[in-house]
Amino acid sequence: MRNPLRNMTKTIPRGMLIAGLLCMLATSSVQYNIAQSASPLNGTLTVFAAVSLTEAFTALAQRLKTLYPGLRIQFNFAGSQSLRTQLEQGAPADVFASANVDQMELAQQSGVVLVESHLFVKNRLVVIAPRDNPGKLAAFRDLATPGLKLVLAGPHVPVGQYSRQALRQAAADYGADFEAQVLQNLVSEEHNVKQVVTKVQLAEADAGITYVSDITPRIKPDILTLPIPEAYNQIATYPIALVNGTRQRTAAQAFIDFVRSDPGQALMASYNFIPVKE
Amino acid sequence: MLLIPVLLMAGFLVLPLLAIFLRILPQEGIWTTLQQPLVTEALQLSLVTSLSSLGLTALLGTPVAYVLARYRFRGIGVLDTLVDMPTVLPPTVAGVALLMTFGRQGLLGQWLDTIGLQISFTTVAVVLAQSFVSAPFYIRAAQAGFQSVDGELERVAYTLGYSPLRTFLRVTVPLAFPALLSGGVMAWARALGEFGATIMFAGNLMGRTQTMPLAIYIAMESDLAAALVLSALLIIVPFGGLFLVRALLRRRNVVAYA
Amino acid sequence: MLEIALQKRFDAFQLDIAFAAHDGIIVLFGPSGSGKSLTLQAVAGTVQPDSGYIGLDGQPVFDHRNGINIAPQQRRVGYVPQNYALFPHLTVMDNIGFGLTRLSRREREQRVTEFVELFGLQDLGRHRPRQLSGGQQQRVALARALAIRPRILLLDEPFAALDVSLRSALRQELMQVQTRSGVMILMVTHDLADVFTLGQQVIVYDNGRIIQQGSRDEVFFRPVNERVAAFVQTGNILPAVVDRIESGTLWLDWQGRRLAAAPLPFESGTPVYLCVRASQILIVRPDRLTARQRENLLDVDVVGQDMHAETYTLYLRLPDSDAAHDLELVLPGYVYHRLELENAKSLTVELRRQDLHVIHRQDTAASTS
Repeated sequence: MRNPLRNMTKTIPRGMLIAGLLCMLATSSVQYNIAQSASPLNGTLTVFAAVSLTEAFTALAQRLKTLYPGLRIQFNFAGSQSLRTQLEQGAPADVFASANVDQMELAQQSGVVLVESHLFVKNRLVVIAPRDNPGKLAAFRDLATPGLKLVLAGPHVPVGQYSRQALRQAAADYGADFEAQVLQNLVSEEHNVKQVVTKVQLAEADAGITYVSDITPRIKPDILTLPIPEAYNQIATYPIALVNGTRQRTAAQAFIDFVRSDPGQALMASYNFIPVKE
Repeated sequence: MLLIPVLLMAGFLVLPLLAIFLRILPQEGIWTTLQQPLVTEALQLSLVTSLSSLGLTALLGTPVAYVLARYRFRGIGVLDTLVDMPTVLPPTVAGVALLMTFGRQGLLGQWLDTIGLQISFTTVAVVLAQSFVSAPFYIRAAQAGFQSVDGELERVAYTLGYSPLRTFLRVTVPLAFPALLSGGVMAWARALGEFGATIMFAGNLMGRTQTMPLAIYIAMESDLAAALVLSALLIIVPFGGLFLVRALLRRRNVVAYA
Repeated sequence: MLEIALQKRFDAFQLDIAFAAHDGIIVLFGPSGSGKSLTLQAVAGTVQPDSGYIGLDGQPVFDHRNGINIAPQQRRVGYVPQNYALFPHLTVMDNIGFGLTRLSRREREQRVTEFVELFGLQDLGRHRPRQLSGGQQQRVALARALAIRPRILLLDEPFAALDVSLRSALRQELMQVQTRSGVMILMVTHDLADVFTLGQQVIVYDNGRIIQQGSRDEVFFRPVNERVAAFVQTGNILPAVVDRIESGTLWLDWQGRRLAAAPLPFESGTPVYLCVRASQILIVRPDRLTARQRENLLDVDVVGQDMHAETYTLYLRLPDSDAAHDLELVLPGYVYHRLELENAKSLTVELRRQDLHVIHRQDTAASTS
């Protein structure tokens, strides 16, 4: 987010795009019309996105296809830490969307993304349990019940980090041991949030912590959710950036811009994300 | 002319291994990395589980190998195919299958659960996953070993007063031993490197289910040094085992059968 | 003492045999695949018959009707398979002592030494089987089987894998072993030389059945049918017809000749085979013709000769015959040369009546008389 002026040095269509975007935001119009664009976007765009964005981004891509029929978007959904590592190892991509700022910063430090990144959505955590509730959970506090089978994402996975932060902050009300007691119940550390969902859905685990956005219509019948008190719930902030060395800069930027546009944000909201108000 | 493909193949096999070592050696703090719980727990768990699964495989697989080697009955073709199944199954699929069987809502898992036994997420699950994928390597080698032992030797032993079990232990096994040993090593190495089924079925928790391959996978995303050290270990340990076994076999003067 | 009666069915083959023997060497003789080895394995207990009875020294080891089937471990039989089956991972001494686990360590060592010396294996005690010659391996196998003091020794083609030149010495050794130990030997062979030398009692197998049982002489010189006659290489199996019996003589018609044989209760017109061994046809020297009363004299042409190491075979044909040859005659080399038969074109031969063995012939067989 540091240097928007850099973009001014690009070609005219690029400039028109930015100008158009700013105009639209200013007028808060819902129409996203780039009929004025001089060259249509085509080719293949590779987007590395945190796994919690799976359903939302897939829908987003379909929407974009109607606007740019020639553009093919392919996704790599995985834990943000996984994606960052792959980029560092040289995986080719055009856009990186992370579930937390830490992974984005690491990516920036190692130079795999362009320094400018934008926060584009937020998310909240929620506790999930299998439909039959074998662990007999009634509230967030019950996560400390001894003998409970809990799955969380690993500490390097964004959602795993957020979960542990939430547990830590809950010490204020549940005692200094709360986090330790809950972590005692940990039976597995998954490497992305969808794995957590699966284990709970299969009733292999009694409980897990995921994002609110992970409660999709498809899994809803199999799980029940328990809210995390506002005081400790974490706000997950998702940054998005261009990958350094992208060959589809225009298309990549178009993607990012769309995500941040009103229709894009509305779409994200429909998938239970929290839009970002600039 | 023959030299070129030989060099290419040898290079292809050796270079990736060398690359790991070359990456680690310049770094300081290898010793500290080695002492991290991530590494030590994974190493210990891997050794314990792989040796346990080898034991389980040998215990249950040896009779199966003997049956396949000696008997002909209707349905033996089925047994034969079953033994090959784990090798053609992708490990992740094996993991899913094990979950569907022994998981809490699984075929057997459900009523194991009623008597309070849960297998998934335990070290036992790791051993089961490893055994599932590595058993065929041992069974096939043992089968070939038993087949190479002339059945007439066993029959003569019977007439000389040896019970079938005693004959098996004193005649068949010693003669099939090199095959049993190399089959065991292959199975052990496969168990040591098992990942897909383990992560699906047993989960990932340091000290309980996070074997070396899992630790490497996780560490790649957070601590490259640890990942490299673990990778190096995962090369050295099986290699070491292989050399030891070869030396053992050589010392025994591998017998050529009449 | 061995009593055996067993039946076993396989896919393409049925074994149905019965015999009894007291002691000595019993030879099971017949073509490959006729069930001899199976019989041996049934006695050893490694193959189970479908039905029947096997008794050793009066005690049943297999009795289907009474549900008895004693395991090979308890039968105390000494079994030596065709390839000897020596344990490759054990020394000669350990091989020989293998079956002696019930003895104390001392007794075991003593017994092993006894047998090592008995079989002349003193310098080979610590060798492995692969370091031994064929003859030595066979001796070790025998020693191993005998060391347990078995009730019966079962040998499956014991000399088949050995050089022909070794065999006659080994046959003698085997006979000595039998005399010295007194153990009954049941031996399978398809080698006629074994039968002749060792066959105190011979049991002839053919396609899962026993077709003759008797002494060596009976089987060789008085085969009971043309199958046995062929197996023992009778040489001349001549289709003939009985003419009549007349006071102490059985008259036969063969190729238009009248031949006299020892009397047997055959009816006139019965088709028969005349069996006479190739070595039993005598050449009559013209100057000795009237020396004594001769019967069954035949004038024949010599139509072929074969030379062997020690003998010659002459192929003889009756002058009016259109067969390739009618008789085979075998004689020692020195006789051949003494009679200067190199250029012989025709001879007179005599068939002594006591050498003519007459057996039934099936009418369906093509008659050439």
